[in-house]
Amino acid sequence: MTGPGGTGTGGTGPGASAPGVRVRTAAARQRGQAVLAVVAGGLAFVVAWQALVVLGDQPSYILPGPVEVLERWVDAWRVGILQPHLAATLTEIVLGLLAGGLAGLAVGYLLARSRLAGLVLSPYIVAAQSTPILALAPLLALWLGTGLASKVLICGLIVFFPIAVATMVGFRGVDPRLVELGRSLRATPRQILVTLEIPAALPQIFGGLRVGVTLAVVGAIVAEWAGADQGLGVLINLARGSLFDTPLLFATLLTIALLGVALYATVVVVERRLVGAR
Amino acid sequence: MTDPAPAGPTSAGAAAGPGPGASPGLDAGVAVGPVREPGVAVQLAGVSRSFVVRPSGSLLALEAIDLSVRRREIVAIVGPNGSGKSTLLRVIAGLLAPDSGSVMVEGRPVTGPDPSVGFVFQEPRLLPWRSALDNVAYPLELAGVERATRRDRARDLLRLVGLAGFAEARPSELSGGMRQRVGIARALALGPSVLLLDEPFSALDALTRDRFNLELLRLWERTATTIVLVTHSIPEAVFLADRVLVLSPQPGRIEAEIPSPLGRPRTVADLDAPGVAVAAAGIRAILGTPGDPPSGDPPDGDPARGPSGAAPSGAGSDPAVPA
Repeated sequence: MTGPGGTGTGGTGPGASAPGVRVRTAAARQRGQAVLAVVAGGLAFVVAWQALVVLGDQPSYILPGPVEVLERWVDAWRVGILQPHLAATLTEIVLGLLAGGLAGLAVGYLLARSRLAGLVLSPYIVAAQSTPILALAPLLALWLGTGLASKVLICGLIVFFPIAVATMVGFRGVDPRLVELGRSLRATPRQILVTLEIPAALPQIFGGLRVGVTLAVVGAIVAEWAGADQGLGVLINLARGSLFDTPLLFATLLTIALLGVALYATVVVVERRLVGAR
Repeated sequence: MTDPAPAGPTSAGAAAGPGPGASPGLDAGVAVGPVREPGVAVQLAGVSRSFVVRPSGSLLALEAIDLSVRRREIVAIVGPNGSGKSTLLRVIAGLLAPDSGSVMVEGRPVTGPDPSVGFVFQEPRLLPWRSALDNVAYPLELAGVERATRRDRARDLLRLVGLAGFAEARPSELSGGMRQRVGIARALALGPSVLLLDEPFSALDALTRDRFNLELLRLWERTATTIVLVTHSIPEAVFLADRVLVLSPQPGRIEAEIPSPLGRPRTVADLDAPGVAVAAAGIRAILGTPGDPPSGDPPDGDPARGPSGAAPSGAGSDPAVPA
């Protein structure tokens, strides 16, 4: 799941040597080609989709064509159907990421530091992760109500595991020689954590965050299906079950997909800033 | 990769001409270590150190080491793998505590890493996410030196090692030799009076290595430090040091102490001086080896491999566990 352009040559180097410049223009050309490929792929998908609808003579309530979906999307946006649902889902995702992410960071660090904690906690963590969230969601909604709390919890649960594991791997992988360097410079344990271990573990942690952010979208939708009155998951149910508005269903799916891409891209941008070129 | 930085220290050193400590004007504004006075910089008495070895029992790495290094002296330590060279250096640095015996640096007992000691590791050990400048400034940052001050000082140090133009470069953008220069500049950041070097140039090719050895001597002339250095190269030890200590294989004991036949200052020509060859032959005879030990051997300076990295005592450093 390493998406587009994980580790680009983003940084401004020493700007000294000609090879550096050549590398940068080559990278720019490669990026241009990648954008082109993405656009071409999208177009091919849309064309195939339209062909399937026209040639198969599918009615709109079974499979609406891309143009119809796009029209419905624009219309729903203009009328203001999508926005409140999008806002609700986005809130759940952000809070769930925050809760699950922070818990994942803390537990991942604990697992890396303490062998005992690893032995005691690992079976439970893995067991919890293996339990289908789909089965758990209705229960949690029952216990916590259909408000924000159950959504954030479900979202957080699904995000927790990849971030905890990535954090553990990141901290375990810190080069002990760098820690020895820190000790030789009389760094305090806190300074070693902040100036050596966290920066060294950051690339792995962001790997977990990339997985986590996409799962968070799924978690929010699943949580909404278990009971909610707003959110893109609710809108899917409405469009399918009550309104028989298949184009709106597809427009909602499109919104969810775009939301996932936007969140993922945000993580990548933050990662570039924090991890940078190494 | 070529190393496009010989202009700095080499030419400056040449301009300084003969005579240690000549031309203070070229000192690049780097504060020199504590006041030079005759005396002892490093003193070890009866130092022993052993390591726990996994299957059972322990391994004696150093046994009853007595060592006294005068201020401004350069002492080289040679010995086969597993003779405890790196362990000895880490004991002096306060990174490893001896099992018995006493360690004093600048008249103070060593209880942990000391700010008057700079350590240059076998690998540069730069933080890959920091620029060269920020790597050199790192010890100052840990010590709580204000940002502007530490950047100024780091800039001076980079100039001192001939990397003035590479302040913003990342380690990945530097050649191996340049990275080690950054490592040396970082070791000098706190103005140490004692510099410990653990096979600092072992990863460099022979030509670069010769040049680095000369530059190290220039640096030593300008910074008034005491140097204890571990090396695998016997000629290098003779060329750099005032005294060469020969450690016996496991447990490490000081087998012999060979004074270098060379005077100061030393030049490129001294690399091939007949006295060097004679002294090197003498050391080889003591070590019982017909030729140079193979270079590029495994980094026996590795500290703990444990997950915590906090306790190097268990997984020994020098007691070379056969790979």
